[in-house]
Amino acid sequence: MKEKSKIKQSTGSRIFDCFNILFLGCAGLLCIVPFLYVIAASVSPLSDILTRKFFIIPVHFDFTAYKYLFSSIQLMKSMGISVMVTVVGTVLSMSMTLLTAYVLSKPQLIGRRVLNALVVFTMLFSGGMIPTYLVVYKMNLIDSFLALWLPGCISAYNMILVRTSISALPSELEEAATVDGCNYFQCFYKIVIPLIKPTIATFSLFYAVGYWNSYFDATIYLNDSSKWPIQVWLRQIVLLSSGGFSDTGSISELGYIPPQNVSYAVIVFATIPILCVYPFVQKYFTKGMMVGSVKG
Amino acid sequence: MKKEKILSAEKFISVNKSRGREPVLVRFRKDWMLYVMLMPGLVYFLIFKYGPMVGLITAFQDYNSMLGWFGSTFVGLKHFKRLFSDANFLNIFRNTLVLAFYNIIIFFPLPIIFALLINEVKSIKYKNVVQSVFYIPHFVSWVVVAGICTTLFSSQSGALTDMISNLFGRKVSILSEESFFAPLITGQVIWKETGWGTIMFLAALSGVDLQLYEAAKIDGANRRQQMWHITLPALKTTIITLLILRMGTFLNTGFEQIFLMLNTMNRSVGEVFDTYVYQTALTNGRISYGTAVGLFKSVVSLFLVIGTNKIAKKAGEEGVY
Amino acid sequence: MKEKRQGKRSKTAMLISLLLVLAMALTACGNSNSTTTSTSSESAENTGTEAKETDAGNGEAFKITMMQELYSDAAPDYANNAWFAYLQEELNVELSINFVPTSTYVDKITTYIASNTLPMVFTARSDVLQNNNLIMSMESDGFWTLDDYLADYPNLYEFVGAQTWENSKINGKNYGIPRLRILARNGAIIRQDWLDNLELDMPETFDELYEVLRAFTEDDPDGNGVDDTYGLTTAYEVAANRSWNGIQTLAVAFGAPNGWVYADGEMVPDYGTEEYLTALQYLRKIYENGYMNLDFGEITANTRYEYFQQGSYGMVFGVIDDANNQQENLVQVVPDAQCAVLAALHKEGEDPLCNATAGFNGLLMFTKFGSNAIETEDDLRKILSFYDSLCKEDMQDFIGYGIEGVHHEVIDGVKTLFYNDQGKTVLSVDVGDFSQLLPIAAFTRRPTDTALITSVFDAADEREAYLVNDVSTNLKSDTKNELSSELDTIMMDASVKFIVGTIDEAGYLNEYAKWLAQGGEDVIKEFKAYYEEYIQ
Repeated sequence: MKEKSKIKQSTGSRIFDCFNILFLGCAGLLCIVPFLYVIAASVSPLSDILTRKFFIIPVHFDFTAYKYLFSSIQLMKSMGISVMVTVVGTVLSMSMTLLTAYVLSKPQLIGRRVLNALVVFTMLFSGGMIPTYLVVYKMNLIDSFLALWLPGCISAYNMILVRTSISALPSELEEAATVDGCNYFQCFYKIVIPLIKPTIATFSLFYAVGYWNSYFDATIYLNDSSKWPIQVWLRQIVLLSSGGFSDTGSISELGYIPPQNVSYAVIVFATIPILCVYPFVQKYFTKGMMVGSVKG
Repeated sequence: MKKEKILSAEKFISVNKSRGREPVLVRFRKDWMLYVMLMPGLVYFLIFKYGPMVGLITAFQDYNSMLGWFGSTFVGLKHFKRLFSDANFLNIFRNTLVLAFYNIIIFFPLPIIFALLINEVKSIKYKNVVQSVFYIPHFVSWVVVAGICTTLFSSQSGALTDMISNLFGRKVSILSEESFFAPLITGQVIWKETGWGTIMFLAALSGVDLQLYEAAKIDGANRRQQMWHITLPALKTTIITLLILRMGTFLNTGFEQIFLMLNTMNRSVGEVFDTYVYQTALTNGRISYGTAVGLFKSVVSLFLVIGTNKIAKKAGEEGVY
Repeated sequence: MKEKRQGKRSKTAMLISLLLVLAMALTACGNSNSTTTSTSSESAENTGTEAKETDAGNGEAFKITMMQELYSDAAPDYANNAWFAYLQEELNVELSINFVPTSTYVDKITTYIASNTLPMVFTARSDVLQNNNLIMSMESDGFWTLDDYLADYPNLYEFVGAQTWENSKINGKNYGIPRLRILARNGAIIRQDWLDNLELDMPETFDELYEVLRAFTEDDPDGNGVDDTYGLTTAYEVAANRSWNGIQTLAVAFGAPNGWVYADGEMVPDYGTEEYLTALQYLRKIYENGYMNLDFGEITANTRYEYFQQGSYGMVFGVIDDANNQQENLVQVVPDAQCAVLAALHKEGEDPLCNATAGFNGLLMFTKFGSNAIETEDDLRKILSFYDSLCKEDMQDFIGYGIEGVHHEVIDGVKTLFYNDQGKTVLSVDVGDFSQLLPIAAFTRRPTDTALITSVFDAADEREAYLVNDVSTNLKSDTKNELSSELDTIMMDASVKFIVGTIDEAGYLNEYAKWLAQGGEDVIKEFKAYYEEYIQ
């Protein structure tokens, strides 16, 4: 059964492969070129940026933008906070999502249809910022990191999709396990979770990106500015350096305005960490994860 | 194909077994662990999703946040009346619909197509590289995207403006002409989100049993047939679920993106619900009005979701509820 | 294989439990702060820099909770700070400040009001004062009015000035301390080096300006032989900031009212006046001839500054205090560039007319409701006396220069500020955006000012004589509150379309009629009624 496929590839198939690779390559370039520009701009002097002296490869090198960023202790500390918030948040969200999705995928759950409908309902209707704030306030979570994790803990959208992928698993697997004496939680933990690794990888990535990029919740729920994640500060820097503040005060303010190339450095700084996460996720996307799980 | 049919038959039996054959209390006691596992999620939804929904009442009040819900005056449908009688209402509705249709018809299939194309690539290294590069635009903020578009298409100094003008035979200003707005916005979404959208489909594709391909090849199927009979069906459930969920956000066009590209010239085709709410309600602190518009959008989305879900179920698919 | 998987799983389980423990530890810290509603006051207490017993004679320091927009990229560490320590000790207060990024400031105020936890003192910019939610809270008696108390605080009263107190009244009452700004702020910045190269004088009349813009575009002012220069760059800008794109500056110089004026028993909006249309026609001619950036209707305010800083444009409308910033960025691209403030434009033989700002941007407001309120009149008086002391000369000096040896040193009798590695002054790092909560003069001349900055201040002084005020600053109109953004957008769009040539004069007047019909007529009526009742 494992002999190499001796079927020859038709010419049509080979032409398709050629075009495919070319097409994907072009699309890939289109995606990455603007980002390469951003990286190049972040290490160029301001005058080069304004006069557009370069395209992807910088003409002159000027690291003042990065010097400015790294010299700020607050920025480094908030980077650490972002990492912590993202990791804990992702683990928490993923656990809750998987658990709830598993339960809601079981046909024998009483009121399953109603519960699922209620979940969908929350995707469509929302009380808004003020009521959510009041709930968080009444639970005494203001100024606590839990306010960043709890209100958005389970994304209904993500949960529905995870539920779909759990439902797609053949039911014989669990039935076999139940025969062997597994209860629901053991089935969940030992059987289902290992089988939906690509799904877990995907949605962990989605949650992680969501937590990493969040800044609004932090400014609303966290009064103490030393607790803010890095996105808050990075946004401030970008707004500041692009002259976004109409009226910062009377002229006697000797406020310092970071030059424009700092915004580019900020974009790189904010994005690269999360870009590094993807390769780890990617290894779960190898084909044929389910091979061998169901015999016959 | 055969395997799938057998599976659904078995599922069918097991569902029937648990429905109505045993009294509820017996099922409850037997499956007690299931309900315990349900508790955390249920509590979460009740507190953080349904709790705040009380706030929807502000759509029917002249909400004074200092006095709260109990201190504000009840005004019934006043805000909805104002929305519907706004001179721009139909215009805004139409603009939103146009963008929504462009998005669903043009953008929605693209991540699927790209996922399939990537899947067809034989070299794993190339595949990985392409995948990693594709999703980078997702992390570029809309502000940067708008900046790039200005650089490329500005009437004054756009890098591509002359080239495009030659194509069209007249001076075009993409950033201000009305007919270009929807394609521009959709183009931005395509560039930014296609790559990110392929992730979910690639994950689904990685769950396809390789043996199916082997068997098909031996049966003499060519690549197109393999894709049609093996690959696509593997994505079917995901696609349909995503489509139904997409209906739930049908009237959402994404505020930041549109707001950045709006200007005097294209406002008549560019003003959508999200930007309208931002300008009239959010920046001015008219909370009740903003909630009312949001409520209107939600109700429309509700009908769309119910409708699409029914259609999906009739076609034999598993809906979202 | 199974063992490996189990080993992996127990590792992941350990990792998860570790993280959860970490999370719990952190949230425990967070929770202990949130058990009271005035959160950051506890951190101030714990760091031991507050002044409890001082020689100010009042015994315990008075706690003030405050809230401020964050404009810079760092919040001052006020608990560990020589400047704050001195301030709190000197004036016998204990401060606790929440800094909020400016982009979410309004949302934060909204949530604070909704949860009734608004701090005692907070800043409210002029746009924030238009916020309907805040207005409702004002009308529900949520804030203290200062009218009855000002007489007891002469330093504060005179520092702000009677006229500004009058201008900043809302519904006939003073709801807070106005934050002073230069009145004659609107203007334009022009390339002095180009004027010199072309041997032109600073233009003062409209004809002269037109000629200058033409020369900038056609006569190669930068002398490089390439036809790559243009006259004016500006952006259409959103309606809320319409005073920046130059239309209003020009219109007022032509004689139009600054927004609104009450004349001959009628309330007149500028949109409908002859002079406003003249200004639009002037700009339209400039646009048609290519003396102006063609994407005027597409770009944002930042982009027009970018264009200017690239060196290819000769003039840009904006606030004159931006001149220094533009200069600093411009010289990086064009080392010989020299910016100057454009002269106040005037009609031939007449005095210039400058459109004035309100003279203040927002108020410092004092909360009367909720758990963080200023509860009694006594407490309010304590805070007012705090501000009164800040208006005295010694404290103003302290605000401007800080502590000698820490923030500045005296060289040859001149106070010179210290700078740190990032290029900021040590004083600005220590004080940060707290300065927004302090009474500060509209502008302060320093001996270290450059020629450009001095010219900006000179212009501000000179133009005070020619200011045209916006009558509607403290008029109230319900329709305006409801529909201001829609109405403003109609006319802003009409103005831009006219300039760009999409519509002609008939089309513009059509839009004006639309504006009247959709609410403009009501605003005129309401303003007129209010003016005649309260102001006249």
